Amino acid sequence: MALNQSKYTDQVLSCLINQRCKICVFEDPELALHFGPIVSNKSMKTIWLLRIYCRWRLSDSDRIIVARFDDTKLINQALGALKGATLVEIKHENVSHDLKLVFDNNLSIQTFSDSVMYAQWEICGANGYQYGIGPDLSPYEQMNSESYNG
Amino acid sequence: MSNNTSMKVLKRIVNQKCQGTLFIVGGTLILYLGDVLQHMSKLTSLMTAWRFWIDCAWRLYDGEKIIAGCYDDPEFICKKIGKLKDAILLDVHHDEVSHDLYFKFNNGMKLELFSDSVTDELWQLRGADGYHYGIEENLTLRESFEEPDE
Repeated sequence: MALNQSKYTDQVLSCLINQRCKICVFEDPELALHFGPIVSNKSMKTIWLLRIYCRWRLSDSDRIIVARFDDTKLINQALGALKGATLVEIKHENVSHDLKLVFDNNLSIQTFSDSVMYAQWEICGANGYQYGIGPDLSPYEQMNSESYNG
Repeated sequence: MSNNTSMKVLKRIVNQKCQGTLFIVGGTLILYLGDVLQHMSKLTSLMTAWRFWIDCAWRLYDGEKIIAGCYDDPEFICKKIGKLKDAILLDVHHDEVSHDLYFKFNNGMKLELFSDSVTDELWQLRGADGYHYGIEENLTLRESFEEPDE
């Protein structure tokens, strides 16, 4: 990926920095992290939603707590620890598009791009904005007339 | 067992030739490494001094480009993973916290493994003599001697 595209991805991802994680839910195959203020109580819609479709794991400073292929109930119990945590850093790897989300309670989520045929992750804004990594590990950006379904 | 132990064990497959690969639908990838043995396997027509079983997430690089991942379609995977045939494994790196692995081959191919479960087996090295070394449930390293594979 061109360096300026990588910088652009970093810039887009920076919208999540300092945002509080309101909800984090795994519903196979998608991990959904809702960030920022709630804009619609009806659907618990927040300003930003990060959808992760590829492999991921939740870790603290010295161990993996839970990961994509563990039991869904265990996963969601563990993910509960992210509720209310503030995202302090996002690392983005410019070839693989792997992400590392670091929270203020020392928890982190690492993603691992596991396909060149399918999408890896996507950021959705309440205003209809979408940015993600699609097939061929290619970034895409679009503005929809409707907001995401939270 | 320490990371030192893991590296000592994994060094046994460095400089070995990849004689072939097998991708089993459902997710397991097997690398056949080292000398070809006389007797035949029930799984394939190939049996080698070492076999490396991968049950966690992985992706394959050709140079700096990712060309396949474990979530791609099986037919596509088989085509791409075939590029490892006859390649010599130059280096193995093991992360002692996550047990992620990284293999580098002499033809520019690289294979990256990512631990995506704390409750399942992730990878295992199997020797023709029945020696097994791998990561099992709870990210535990286990070394044992079993009945040699047929």
